[in-house]
Amino acid sequence: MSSGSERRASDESVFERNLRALLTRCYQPAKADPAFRARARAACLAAVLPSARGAPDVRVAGADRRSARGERRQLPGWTRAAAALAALLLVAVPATLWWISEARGDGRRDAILARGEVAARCGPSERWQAFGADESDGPDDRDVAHAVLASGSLQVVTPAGLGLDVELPDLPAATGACIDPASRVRLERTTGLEAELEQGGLSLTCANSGPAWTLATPQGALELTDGSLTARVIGAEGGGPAGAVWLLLDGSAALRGASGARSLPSGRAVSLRLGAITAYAADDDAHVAVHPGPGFVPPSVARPPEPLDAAELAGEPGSAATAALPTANLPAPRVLQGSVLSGGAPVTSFALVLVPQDVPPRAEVERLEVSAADGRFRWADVAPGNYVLFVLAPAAPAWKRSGVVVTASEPLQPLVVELDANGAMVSGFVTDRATGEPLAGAVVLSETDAPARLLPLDGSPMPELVTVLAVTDELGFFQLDRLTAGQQLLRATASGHAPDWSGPLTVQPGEHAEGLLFRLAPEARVRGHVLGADGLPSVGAILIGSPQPDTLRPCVSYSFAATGDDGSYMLGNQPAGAGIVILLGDDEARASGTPPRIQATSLSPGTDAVVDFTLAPAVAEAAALPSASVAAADAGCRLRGRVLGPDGAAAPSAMISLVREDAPAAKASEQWVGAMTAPDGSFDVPGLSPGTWELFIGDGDGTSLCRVCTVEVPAARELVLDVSLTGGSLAGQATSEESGQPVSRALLILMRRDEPSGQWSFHGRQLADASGRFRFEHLAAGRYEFTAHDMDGVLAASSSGDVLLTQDQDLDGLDVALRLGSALLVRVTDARGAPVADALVILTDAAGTSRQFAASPRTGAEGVLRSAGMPPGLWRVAVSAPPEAGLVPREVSVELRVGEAEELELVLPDAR
Amino acid sequence: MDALYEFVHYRVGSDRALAEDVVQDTFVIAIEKIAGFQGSSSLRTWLCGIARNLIRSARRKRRAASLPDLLEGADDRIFEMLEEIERTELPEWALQRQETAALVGATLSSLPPDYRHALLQKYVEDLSVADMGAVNGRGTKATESLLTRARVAFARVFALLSGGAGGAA
Repeated sequence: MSSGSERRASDESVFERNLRALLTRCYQPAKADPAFRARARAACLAAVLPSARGAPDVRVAGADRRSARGERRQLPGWTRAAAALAALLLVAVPATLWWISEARGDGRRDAILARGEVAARCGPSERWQAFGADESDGPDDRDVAHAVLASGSLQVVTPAGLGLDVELPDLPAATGACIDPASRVRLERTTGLEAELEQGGLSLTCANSGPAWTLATPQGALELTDGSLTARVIGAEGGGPAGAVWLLLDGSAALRGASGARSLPSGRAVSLRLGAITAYAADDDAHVAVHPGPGFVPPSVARPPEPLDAAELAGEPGSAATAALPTANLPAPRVLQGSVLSGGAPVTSFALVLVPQDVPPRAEVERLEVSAADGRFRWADVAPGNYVLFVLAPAAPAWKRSGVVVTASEPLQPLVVELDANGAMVSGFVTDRATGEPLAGAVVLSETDAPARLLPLDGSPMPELVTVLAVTDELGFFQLDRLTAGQQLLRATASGHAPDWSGPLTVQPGEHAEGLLFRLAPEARVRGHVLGADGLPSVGAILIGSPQPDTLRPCVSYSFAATGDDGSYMLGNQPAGAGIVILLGDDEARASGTPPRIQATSLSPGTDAVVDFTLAPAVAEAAALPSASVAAADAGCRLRGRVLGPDGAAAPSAMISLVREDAPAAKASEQWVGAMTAPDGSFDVPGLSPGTWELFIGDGDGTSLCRVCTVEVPAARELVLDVSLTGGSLAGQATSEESGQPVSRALLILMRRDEPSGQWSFHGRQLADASGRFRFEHLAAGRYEFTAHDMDGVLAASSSGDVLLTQDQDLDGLDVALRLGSALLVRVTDARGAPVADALVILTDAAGTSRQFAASPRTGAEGVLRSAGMPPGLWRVAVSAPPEAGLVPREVSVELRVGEAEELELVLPDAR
Repeated sequence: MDALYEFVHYRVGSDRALAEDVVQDTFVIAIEKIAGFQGSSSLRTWLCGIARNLIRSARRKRRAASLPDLLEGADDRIFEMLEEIERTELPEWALQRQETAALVGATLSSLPPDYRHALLQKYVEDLSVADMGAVNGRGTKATESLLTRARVAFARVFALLSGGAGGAA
């Protein structure tokens, strides 16, 4: 050290001197070796390059295999339809549990849970293997939670040596047990692994050194601490009711019921009628439930159930006890019941929260506070719906189960909730992406653990129950405690910035995952005006802005605004990309049940997008005006009516979209209007200009869209139209040809051949779920073709070939395999090197078909158009600048290779 | 690659071969799963998440002496010394311990790049605050502020790693 340094060092604090010593003496920068870099590059290349260069296979049920290549043809409406599609694309993908791939050469079938929690593989021998969540990230590592399903039995072995065997042999006739052969027993894990098994029973083995298994029944909970226990679901035995039998083969177990705990001696059998058996491992959320499936019809009861024998229940060895179930504890529709334990002991105070998974999402949650010495709960009269259930207790990570479906008729199986004592911890920093500076006051929360569906982006108060959050300090540092183990998704927000998400992050109980870094980009904003039908500003109208929904995000992030005196509004804190603006209207509109208005928009960081709304005239006024006899109004025609399903029932929460058929492609986004149907299926779309409009209907979350009819909008004030949907459907799965993995969020474009012209036109689009599955519904009989696009642009688009659909036919298994594609960046400049914005780029493949692989066919402000997911091969690229630019168009050829990105720089000469 | 490499290196007990395996596998898995990368999250966080899982897997196979393993077997005296880092000069023996080096490396690789660079410029490259400001295009006050925050951040993460479970895989 120099003398200057020594002087500096002497001025330093103890901490600084220690820091200097640590960094100079202890820290050895770890850099990757150049030879390793080369190896890693080669490995990455090998992972990218395909092993085979064959054409993509497309499997069509009931049709011959064919190659998508060579069948492309000129589709006159394609470009226009794609542009309209881009405008219509409100991307949203519901959370889906499975990724499934098929069509391996050796006949293997893979299934991987989208959340990465369990993967299962079924080989040619029909053996299923399942392995734990985080293992799916590791190469071929399945040693933690391992399950094999062979010949109708499933075995799960955990690292603690805990074994769970679920065997479903054909019940021997000698036992007298009979089960309806048509019935099924469903086996499921809380992680979402589900398998439908024919008939069944349950066998548990537990080593006394390992954690106990708990079985929950309507009678109470049975805890197996040592030995093994078998339970069988049976049908009628000797004409008795359907039920289940537990038989403790050896070891020890205790039956905990409302009247306290009782030991269950070895050899003792207890029979249960109806209901479910649920097994939990105390140290794991592994959970197996066996219960009759929906199709199970108990045989007729020949004799009434035996009353409960008190002596037998007291547990006399060798006696067979038949425990009649107290009626109040039977599984019942709309009753959620069970118990909450921690470390095997009852939790005496906790809250149950049901988060509705409605579409569109709503903020309200159902909540029940429980205080009970035995940890038991009973929640009656739960409103039917699909929920995520949370159990919240002080100082414990949240417990969560998705897919809790409450119906008016199906009984809800009792739950035993084992709270994890050890949460995980995550820490890191939040910085400004533009400056690198730390951001103080940023909010970091776990979307995974948030018992809420809607989360504000703009500093509005968080939902009361969202308590697992942290606010960064002056260093930008945050620390989140008590996170649930497993996959986590964290979100960071700060005023004036776009949100940032962590991506899937796997944490273990008691683990501390440090080093997370959120880099928040400048916010994108949406602003505009809301005008009434009279053209005057609408004051106090409520608007919500939201980024496009994402498969992996459990919550919807939104900003909120109300219009001011001049009808203007501003929605901030939005991320870049596709977004939607929802106009809920003013108090009067909301009170009258007026359906919300929705507009799509595209957002860029640090810029404002403009979205204006004009409200419809009052219902009473418009209804009084017969449409045919009224002259055109400046406000346009109001289209209203109802949407009815194939069964004639109202179709609520459907998205009605209208697109001007003769809209120029570039203006397509301005010629789109949308509305949601109300609970009675009604819709109301104001302001349509006279002309031909195509009416599409889709899911409320924007994942699907199908053309229903063409509407001739008259020059009148109002048009009433009831829409009856048909019943045909096309379904299948998009997979990667290389990996066999499903292509989540694949975009499916459906074309329909118009008869008798024979021309193909855009008919609908669908966003595949996380398992790559898609289903086009409400299709009339006709000839269809669909093309699957990888939204990430890694895989090339692949088409199905013609599919003939007859009236009300449901065609499934229309799978499409996508192979690796290419990317092309076209940069357009003038002779002085200045970028040429808004230049039209037409890409034509070797078959002469013009294709589009970006939302717009025109260059952006920087003169660049990026296209991804292009099939490899020879392409013609024709570029023309807007006429006012005075530049000469150019056309060149480019060869695209598999898995590679090409850059093309085109200089357009001056026309003068 | 270096940022990811360093992140991994100090979490697998400075085992170069294993670090290379993990980094390479991380990239290969990232390529295979690129379709699942939503783009809204930090690429570094995404890659580090994959690497964490691989490290955890290696730990189970007993291939890795990870940071938690290393700290579990460490002499308690070292933690007593490290707790006093802001008040007591570290003795020579503490500076020579492998655990200390691992903690310093893991801490640095957890910091935001600006903090990390500021600490290295100041204490390893021995730049003055004025020189750092000139190099980084910051004013003197901004550089001093950055340094102060970087030091506090280092101490915060260092204490978390040494006092807690030893950090994640």
